[in-house]
Order: sequence, then structure tokens, then C-alpha cells
Amino acid sequence: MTSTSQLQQPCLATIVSMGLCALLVSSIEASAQVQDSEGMPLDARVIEHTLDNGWRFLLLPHGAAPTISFETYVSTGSADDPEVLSGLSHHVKNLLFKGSARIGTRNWEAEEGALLAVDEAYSLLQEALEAGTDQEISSARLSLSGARQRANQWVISEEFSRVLEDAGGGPTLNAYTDEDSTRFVVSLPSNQLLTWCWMESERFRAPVFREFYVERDALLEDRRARVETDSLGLLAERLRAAAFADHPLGNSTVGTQESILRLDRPSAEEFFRTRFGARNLTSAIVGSFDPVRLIPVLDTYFGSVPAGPKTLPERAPLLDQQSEQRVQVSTDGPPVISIAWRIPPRAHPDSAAIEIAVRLLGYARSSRLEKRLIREKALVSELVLSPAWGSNRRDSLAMIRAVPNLGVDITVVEAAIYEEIHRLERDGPDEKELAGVKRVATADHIRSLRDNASIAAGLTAALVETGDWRNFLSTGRQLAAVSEKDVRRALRTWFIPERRTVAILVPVEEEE
Amino acid sequence: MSIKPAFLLTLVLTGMSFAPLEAQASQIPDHPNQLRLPPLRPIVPPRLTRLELEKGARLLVIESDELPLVDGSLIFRGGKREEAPKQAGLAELMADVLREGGSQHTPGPRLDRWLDSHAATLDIRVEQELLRIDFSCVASDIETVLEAIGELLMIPAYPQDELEKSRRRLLTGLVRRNEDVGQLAGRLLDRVCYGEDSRVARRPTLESVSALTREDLINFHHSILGADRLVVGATGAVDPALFAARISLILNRLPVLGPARPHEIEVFRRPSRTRIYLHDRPNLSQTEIRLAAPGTRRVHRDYVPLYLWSYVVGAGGTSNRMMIRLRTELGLIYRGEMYFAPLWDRAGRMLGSCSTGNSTVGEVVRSLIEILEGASKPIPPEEFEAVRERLQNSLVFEIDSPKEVLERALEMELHGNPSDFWEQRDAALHTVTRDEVAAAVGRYLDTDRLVFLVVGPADELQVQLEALGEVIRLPAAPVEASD
Repeated sequence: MTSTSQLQQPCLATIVSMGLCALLVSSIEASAQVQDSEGMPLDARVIEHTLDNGWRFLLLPHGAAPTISFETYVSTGSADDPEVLSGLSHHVKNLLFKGSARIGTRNWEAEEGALLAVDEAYSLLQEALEAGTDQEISSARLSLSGARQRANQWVISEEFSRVLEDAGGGPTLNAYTDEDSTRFVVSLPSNQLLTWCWMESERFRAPVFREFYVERDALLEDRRARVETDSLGLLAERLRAAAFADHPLGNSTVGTQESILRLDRPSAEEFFRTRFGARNLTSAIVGSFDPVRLIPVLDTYFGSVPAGPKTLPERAPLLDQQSEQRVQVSTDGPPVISIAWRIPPRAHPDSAAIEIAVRLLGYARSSRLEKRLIREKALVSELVLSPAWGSNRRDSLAMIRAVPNLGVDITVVEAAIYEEIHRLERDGPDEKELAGVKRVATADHIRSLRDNASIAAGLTAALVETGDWRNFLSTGRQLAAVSEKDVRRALRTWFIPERRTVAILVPVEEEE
Repeated sequence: MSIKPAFLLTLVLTGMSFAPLEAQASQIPDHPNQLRLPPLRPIVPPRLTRLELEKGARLLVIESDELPLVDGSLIFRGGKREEAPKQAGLAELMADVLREGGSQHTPGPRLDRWLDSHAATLDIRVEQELLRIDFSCVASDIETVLEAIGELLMIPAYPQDELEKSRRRLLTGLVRRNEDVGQLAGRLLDRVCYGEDSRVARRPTLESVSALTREDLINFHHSILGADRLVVGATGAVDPALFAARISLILNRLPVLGPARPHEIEVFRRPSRTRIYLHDRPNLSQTEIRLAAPGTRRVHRDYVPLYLWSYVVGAGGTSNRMMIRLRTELGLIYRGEMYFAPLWDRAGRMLGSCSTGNSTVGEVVRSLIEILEGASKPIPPEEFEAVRERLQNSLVFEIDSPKEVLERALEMELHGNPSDFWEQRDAALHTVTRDEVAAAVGRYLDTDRLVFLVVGPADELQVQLEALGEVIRLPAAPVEASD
């Protein structure tokens, strides 16, 4: 068998020259007009439905299993946090699991008064902390603790989550915050469609931020786990901050300790009213359901959710980076280097070329950095590449992180990375290499279409970030259109020292 | 919005039952428990073809023509557990060099170029009990991919230079591995539960990895990759008979090794009173906490009762007792879990994990003990039925894709379990009672004899923990050196 191996070079060449590979790709790409079991292309099945309050829905009946995946994309993220309140959008995301006046409470009238008393006690404590005596502070603390206890007696803890978990959503119920977005996801058995409509509309109609301060304490634990005790988390936080200088895009999503401790309920409620209105929401529903019959239900359930203000506060202008930024973070462990380049928003015409360029450098085993740094020169043990880390609506970062092998100097690794990028920019990828990378990228995209939750995520993100959900389904075609010239231009434009930030984990003993 | 007529027709023909949905479109009830939901349409699991091949190998295939892709796995029983005690790291290194070095006909880099240019993947990974080769490719490339796998199995290259590169990566990983405090805590917990020299707790060390030779790798390859230990699975655009014929070409040239020699079953050493092992990491601002108690096997009458109990106490989501107490009420943790983790080949453990600021470690450990004391009593009927319903409602997600159905079937095949295991579990979940759960928990959980493992600044923690159990400081130096 091996004597006739197609893996032998000549045979491989024959396959390529016969155009067979191209044929296979086109067979993948034909299915990227991806059809479902009823033979209709996916993009012809997506229904866009926008309510009067501005909430946009994308409905896609898909797949044979009796399940439905839901995603709600809120166009608000940590880059929108008020200046001294980093971590607020992350906190509000968690508070949106706390219920409403109808869910999560034993007696809303009694609880409402008790929550106002908590707010009052909290502001008295803040006053005491600023100008009070020790005795006044300790008495204010006691009052706050008492007020919290009185409020908590009315709470049915975690009822909101429990309803969705009991409905079968336990394995998938989640939410995420990044620079630009806050996303709520769950997949449910298809007979629970109304449960989702009830819960998701209630979440945004009039949520109650109960258990506010105890949830804030839990945030401190999240920060300790993700940043303070995780050197890679700390490295990432410092890298972002340096890459975006004083701009909110450099905010820590989880928030700094000081700002977490400044969060209060009135600020969170105000932030919610301004930024989480229906105008700022996009949901996708993908799975086994009948969209025509669902639409009147959406109108009824979601129509009464407040639209939110017509115009949002102006975002701070983002200035161009002028020069390379470098940061060092000390570590007890071995060194790690992260290099990031400021790249344009996803809607920019160069985005597909940037993704292909990053894939040529990393991702697959035969890509350039993998081959040169790991396999040939044995300089690094681990490489992580990300074509767009963070925001997709404003400047983002293309990132390469490398862990040097024992005994290899980090400067050698850094120089080797630049050398490979330079070589790719100067000579361009060869035809076969480029075709292979595009094929892998397309195949990755198509594989993601097997999963309802991935489709829901892709549709909402494409609509919000590029203005058209079709851009998700046509990802394969966009990547396939990238030329050798596009790759070189993208590298020449975006992967330059002036757009670069380098963050290094430095072992303590090596520091000066 | 526009809806094409053809689309409308499709919807009518698929005839999904939505009468209740329409009826309820006009008004919103006050609480979701007042919604009138239709029963779930029964799921029809994809058809699984099981074939017994020559030399004792098995093949499981699920055809699905959704996309012109095939995903498959060749899984050999026997993995890290087959390593000799002094050769820890051998299986991992062997798998890495096998993949990196490729075969004598097709060196690794050439294989990579071919795979990458065909949007195919081929990975080899090794676990305690198995070595698995996973691939994914366009359907028309299946023959070539299987041919490549056949070459790797029958004429592997194991080049010395690839061995050195793989060794270097593995050693760098060993030096870095204590950076992840959670993983460090997991490794230390294995040691204190099963003993430092047990197979479960054994990990590669700088010494063991440095001593491995090319000959070791080749010998290990031939000692674990036998036709009779192979289970093959595939999903996608694949014809079972054709696929079987191609697998047979590989089987023809693989040896029959006979049954693997029996292994010593590790025993969880439950202490006579609660022990809190303390590993000093003075610079951490947050302490990692692990908890263990003896558990059960999967194929066991106590499996389902303990499974349900786990979701009451601390598995999945945020509405279990542990998360409500420690996060929602006390704000002491952000995430955490506590559940019985059964194993196929031996008794598993009840495991708990979370992290908290250093000053609140005592309070968290005390709360965990209290939660377990409370959970030793019968679960109130309402809570019990809600959790039963939750688990039943989420069962559909275990079988809603061909890949998941195949993975479950492969697990049955690999561990020699009854093929109706999952159906039996679902039936038991339907009938299990509160008393059965309480009785099962009583057989495993003794809240005076728990094992805790804590990683954080020892001096600060010692005083908080002394009242809660016997505090034992783990020797920092030896652990760090070999870890």
C-alpha cells in the first residue's frame, strides 16, 4: 500500500496539477452555500425581524434535533465602562441573572423598599469612609449589613438561572463580556421556546439588581483568579492597556480592584438604562422551530422592552498608535512573550487578508512560525496566534504569544518572529501555500456551521459588527478571495513596528 | 421581511406542533411556571452501524451527509497506564514524536503539508487508558488519510532529532506546569488521595523524560498498538462497508497483542479524620481549594443516585447549593463545583474545587463541610423533583449530534460496558427516589473524614484551618523538584 502512497511528493503534485484539490474545495464551498437537510441554502432561510423598539431578531430553522440555540448580543462592552468604573459592564452582565420584580423574589413590594434602604445605607457608608470617624464608619458598616440582610430575606436566590437550568439549559447557560459586546447564550429543548421568550424579555424589560454588593465581592474573586494569580492573564491585561494607552479599549474587562470596589447599584442601573435598551440588542434563534408562528410571540413578549435612548454617549476618539510600546511583567515562572499589532475593525476591507496572513504564520502545523520556530529551530514550545483579539467593531489586536524552550533567550524568539513576518511580507506566500491556508480557513468555517450555537453567535456578530448577517455565511468566500498581494499589503500596512506592543513575562531573577 | 412561497410550503410540510405557542402569543403569564409548554418531540438518534472486524477490532459508524466531511478516530486501549514507573512521560513523548516524525515513507513535515493543503487534520493524543488518533477530512480524502495513519502505525519513523525537539518541548512544559495553580492543586490532590507512588498520581519528571530513548519509544509503540485493542469510530459522509474495508488493510498488518496485563486498582485512602493538606505558595493573593471523598464506578447501582445528588449540591450552573451559599449569599467564590465523578474501570471520587481570597479560606472550607453535612440528609421533595426534571430536560443535548452519539457508543465499546448503559441510566433517573439517594450518599460520604488540599500562603492559612481538621503541610521542596 505504501508503495503507491498518494502522500509521496510526485503523487501529491499530480493531484494538485489535476486540479483535484480545487475540486474538493469547491465541493466544500458549494456546501458553504450551506444547505440544510431540506436542501435550501442557509442564507435563504434566515428571517430578519425587527421590533418597533429596535430589537433585532434573526431566525433560522436548522437541524434535525429538537433543540434551539439562543444568543442575545448587546452592543455594549467594557470599552463603554465609565472612566472610573472599569468592570461595570461585566458586573451588569452577571446582575442580569438576578431576576426581576416577578422572578427571584418572595414579595417584591417589601423587597423594593428594602433594596432602597440598602442603597441609602451604602451611600452613608461611603460618606463615613470619606469624612467620618472610625466609630461612624463601623456603625455605617453595621447598618449596611443589617439592610442587606433585610433585603435578602425576600430573595429567592438564583431563581432566574434555575428556571433556565431546569428547562434543560444547564449545560450551555452562559454569558460573556468583551470590549464591545455582552452576550447571553443558552440552548434549550425545542418545546421550551416560550420559556426563553419569557426569560429573555423579562431580563431586559425591568431587571432587578438584587444581591448587588455580594455579587461585587464575587467579582473580586474573579479578578484574583483570572489576573492576579494567572501570569498569562496579567500579561494580557497589561498588553491591552499599553496597546490602547488611555483609551477605554484598553480597559480591563473584569475591572481593577479599586474600580470594582467603587461600583454601586444606582450607577449600574443608570448604565443599564442607557446601554442595554432594545435598540442595542440583537438576538439569533437557531434550531427546530417555526419562525412564522414565532414572530407574533416575539412581538408580544419583547415589544414592551424599553428601547433605550436614541443616541448613546459619544465614544472617545481612538488615536493612532505612534510608536512601539513595550511592557514587562515579572513572574515566578519561565518567560513568555506576547506581541500584538493594532489592526482595523472587522468591517475593514483588509480583515480577511489579515486573517489569512495570521493563518499563514500560525494556526496549522505547516504554517510558517510553527514550522520554523517549533519544528526546525526548536526555539519555542508553544505558540498561540489570534487574528483579532478583542473588539471587532473598533481597532482590535492581532496577537502572537510564544513560550521559549528552556535555555532559549526571549530576544532570539522575538527576532525570529519578526524575521518570518518580514519574509512573508517581502516574498509573499507561494501559490500552493496560500491555497492550502484558504482551504483550511474555509473548512474551519464550514465545520462551525454544524452547530446551532455557533451559527447563532456568527449571525449576531456579523450583523452588529459588519451590518449584514450574510457576512457570516459568506466568510468562506471572503477568505477564498484573498490574493497573495492582499496578504503582503496587509502585512505591510498593519504589522509594522509603530503599531506593535510587546509584553514580556520576565522571571524575577532576571529583572534588573 | 419577505418569505418565499417555497419556504412556507416547507414549513407546512415539516408540521411542527406550535398550537400552544400561538395560543399564548397574546398574553404573557406572570411567571414562567404558568407557561403551557408542548411535550418535546421525541428525538430520533442517528443510526449507528457496529461491525466486528478481524483480529478482534471493532468499528462504529454513523452516516450523515450534512457536509462532505468525515471525522474519525482510531482508539487503542492502553495509554499512560502501560508505562513502567520509571518511564513516566513515555506515552506522551511517544505520541508526540510519532505525530511529528511521521512514517518512514512520509516524514512529518510532508504529512503536515499534505494535510494542511487538504484542510485535513490528524492528531494523536494519549490518556491514562487509551491512545487515540483523531482525523477530520473531506470525504474524498479518506483513503489517503487512512493510508497515512496506516504508515504511522506500521512503519513509524521516530527520528532522533524529532525526539530531541519533542523532549525539549515536554521539559519546558514541565518547568511551566506549576504556573497554573489549579492544575498544580489537581496533581497534589491525586498524590494525597492515592499516594505518591500510585499510577494515578505519577507524572513525568525532568529525570524520567531525560532518560527516555528512541528505542523506548519504538518498543512502547509495538507493545500497545495491537489490532485486538483497536476500536474505530467515524461520522459524516462515510459508507460503513467501504470504510471497514479500508480499516481492514491496516488491521492486516497490525499484531494481535492479547489482553493487556491487569493493573493494580488504586485505592482512595480515606483518612481517619478530616485532613487538610497545605501546599505553600506565599505570593498568591487567592488560595486554591480542592476537596475529595471516595466515589463509585459508573456501572454501579449507586451511579444514578450520586449523579442526581451532585446536581443538587454542586454540579453545573449557579443554582446548586454550593454556588448559592458561597457565591450568591457570601460572595466568597466566583466559580466552583462539587460532584461525584465516577470512572469506568475503578471507583471515582467526589471532587470539589473553588478558589477564594486568602483571608476567607477557613470560612469557605467550613461552609463546604456544612453544605456536605446538609446534603447527607434527604433532599426536600420539591428540590429533588426539580433537579430530576432538569437532568431529564437536558438529556437531549447528549444525543443531538452524530458525533456525540458516536462518542458515547465508543465509550461503551472501549470499556466493555453494556450497550444499553445510557438507556438504563435514563430509566433509572426516571425512577430513582429520595431515599435511594440519601442511602447511596451515606455509603460514600463521611463528613468527618474528608480530604482537602489547599494551595496558598501557608502561614496565613494554617491558623484558619486548624479548627477544621488535621492540617498537614506538604513538603515544598521535594514536590516542586519533581513537579
